[in-house]
Amino acid sequence: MCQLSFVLRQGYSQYDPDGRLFVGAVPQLMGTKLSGIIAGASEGAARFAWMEALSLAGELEALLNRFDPASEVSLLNAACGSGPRPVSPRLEELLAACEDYRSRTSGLFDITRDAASSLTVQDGTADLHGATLDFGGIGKGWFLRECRRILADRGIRDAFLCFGNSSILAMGSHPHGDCWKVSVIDPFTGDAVTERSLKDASLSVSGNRPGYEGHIIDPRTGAGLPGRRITVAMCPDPADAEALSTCAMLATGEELASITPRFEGADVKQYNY
Amino acid sequence: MTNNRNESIDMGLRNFIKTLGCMTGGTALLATTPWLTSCTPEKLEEAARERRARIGVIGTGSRGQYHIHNLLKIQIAEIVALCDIYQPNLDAAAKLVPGARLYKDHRKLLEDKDIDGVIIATPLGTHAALTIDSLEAGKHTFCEKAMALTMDQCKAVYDKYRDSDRVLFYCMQRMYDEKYVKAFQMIRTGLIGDIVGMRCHWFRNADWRREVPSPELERLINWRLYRENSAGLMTELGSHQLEVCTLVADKMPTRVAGFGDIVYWKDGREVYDTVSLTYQFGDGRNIVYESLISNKFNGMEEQILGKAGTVDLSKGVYYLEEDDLVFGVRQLLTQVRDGVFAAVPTAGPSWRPELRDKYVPHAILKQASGAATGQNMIGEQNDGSDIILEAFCQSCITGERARNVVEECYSATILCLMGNQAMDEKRVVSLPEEYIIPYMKF
Ligand SMILES: NC(=O)c1ccc[n+]([C@@H]2O[C@H](COP(=O)([O-])OP(=O)(O)OC[C@H]3O[C@@H](n4cnc5c(N)ncnc54)[C@H](O)[C@@H]3O)[C@@H](O)[C@H]2O)c1
Repeated sequence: MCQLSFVLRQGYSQYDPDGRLFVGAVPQLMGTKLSGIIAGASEGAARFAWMEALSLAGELEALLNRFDPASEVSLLNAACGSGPRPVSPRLEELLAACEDYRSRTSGLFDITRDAASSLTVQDGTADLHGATLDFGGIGKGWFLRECRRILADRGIRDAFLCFGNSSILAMGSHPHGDCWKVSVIDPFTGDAVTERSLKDASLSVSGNRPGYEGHIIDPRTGAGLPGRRITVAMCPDPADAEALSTCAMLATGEELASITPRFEGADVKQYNY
Repeated sequence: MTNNRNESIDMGLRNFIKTLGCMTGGTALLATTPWLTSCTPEKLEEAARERRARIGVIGTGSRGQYHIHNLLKIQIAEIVALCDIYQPNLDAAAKLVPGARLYKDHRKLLEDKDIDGVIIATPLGTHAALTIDSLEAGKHTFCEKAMALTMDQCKAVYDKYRDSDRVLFYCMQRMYDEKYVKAFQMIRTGLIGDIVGMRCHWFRNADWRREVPSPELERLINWRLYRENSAGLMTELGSHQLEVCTLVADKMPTRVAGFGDIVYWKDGREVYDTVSLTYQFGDGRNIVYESLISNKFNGMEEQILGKAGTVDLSKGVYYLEEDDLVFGVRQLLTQVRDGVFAAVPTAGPSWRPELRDKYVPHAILKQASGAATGQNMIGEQNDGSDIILEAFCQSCITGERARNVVEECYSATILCLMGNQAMDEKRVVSLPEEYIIPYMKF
């Protein structure tokens, strides 16, 4: 009995050899929960891929978790006014990617949440110039991008990973269909906002939830975004989808129309009500 | 020649055991539910090849006739005799089974040499005497719950059973209800972690009264309302629910306190229409029990509360405290397994721990089984009553007893009667030493 409650806390996984179906779930991962289905793979391939993905999530958490004072980002944030600080190659790469997203989204996707800030990232160092970093709007996308690589390396073609509801990686297709179909739910009413068919694609949804509004900060004003808007970004790349759904929360319709074509294969929609 | 019989072998019991076996690999399941070892498909086949069980029914009122309907569908059973002291009920049953020998005195039925097994579906006050008579007459016996009206009677029946070699069943149908059995098994393997408590209730909105053609029949027909024959809500409803609690806990509570009264149906009845009790195990865990029959809002539930989740046995569902699978993915999983391709409501703004999901019910059985509402006085369909009856018929042929059924009914009945005593005397009642049997664990 004790053993099982331990497993429950750590998440669980299960493989059905008849249906060649793997399901895994972790209740606490990067601040939310991860569930996934892997179809048509051997038990070994599915389990190894799942374990690898989880250990990768652990690494990302150690790097990016703002609520862990020992994470690299926390340490960097704590030293934000004291000039250039050495950063790990991994973080340097992620910071550079975020700077790229910032310019491609006309400044709307901003991990400093401050339009006036500027980061200097070079030669293994980063200077925050007084700003602080929050990777909440992109971490899940990176994780799913890595998952896609891990699963593909194991020869897995069909998988559906759902990270905290809002970020979905759909590889290949449903065992009984030619894609994976999901509907996006309005958290205020429970109604379906839209339905998407995903095949080798990612979906990211941003929006406020009842009791949790204003968490998306407009870098131009520093204010939290109130109200009921849901944005849905569908892209081949999970991290692109993540950046775009966040950016679409802040963009006007015209801004979004000019930003979207800068991302390959992107389809982004805003739903206001 | 035997083939014909084989083909028509009873599918209910056979499927029941088969699906349970498949779920967990047969023997493992049977080890945690030992009462099922008497009715494996192999034994059923063997019994069916031998002959049919010749059954007599004593008490052909509403429950008796319900059993007759089930018996008529059981291939290995043959109803040969009927007995009731009330002519209209005997006539009604005789219509269902033309050709059955009819008796007005149960002793005459028991003298009938061509009867293997006897089913007793009479008022509670008669259970002990009829059961003892039946065992003494050498009949395999199936008696309705509860075991008896008093603790002394329970002990007398138990002792008689212990000293006899006959089969004895009590209609503890939850022990043969697929969703319960599967749930027992899942709880044993740690589905909801350590069990920390139990809550059961049964609410109805009906007075329990039946129309009486002439006043002198009041106590015969409305026997449930009078203490000479009935122990009220506790034995009529509570016995089933307390029984599953002791089965799941694998332990017997040691004391009880509670209140009972006649709150609404002040019509001359003697048994409470409202009861509320707490049974305590030796380790401090409680069963909270409640029943009343003037409001049905809460229906019937048997909740097993675990550190990691909750099982509602009567509805056949469980809930986890930390539900790690996102709701939509769980739906997707079900779809993939069922070969369905459709959109699942997975996506939405990010889930965060502080916005935890509502408790999501998970089904104990893959296929929906009729979750009983507990509102039917005679019995529900597919609640295990037909299966336990079939298991009994099989035992009538093989002579093999079903383990634990008598002991479970004994324990549950003792708990019911302790509860009544606690309410009557308005004090905490402990399990009296003299009624402890070796089966009980504390
Ligand atoms: N397991 C269950 O879920 C369930 C459901 C309903 C009833 N029951 C039980 O079934 C039993 C019968 O209940 P019911 O609702 O059918 O009652 P009922 O009054 O409809 O039927 C009882 C019958 O027994 C007859 N009877 C009484 N004394 C007799 C005797 N000495 N010999 C022969 N016949 C006699 C009565 O005339 C009557 O016909 C009770 O013990 C009750 O608790 C169990």
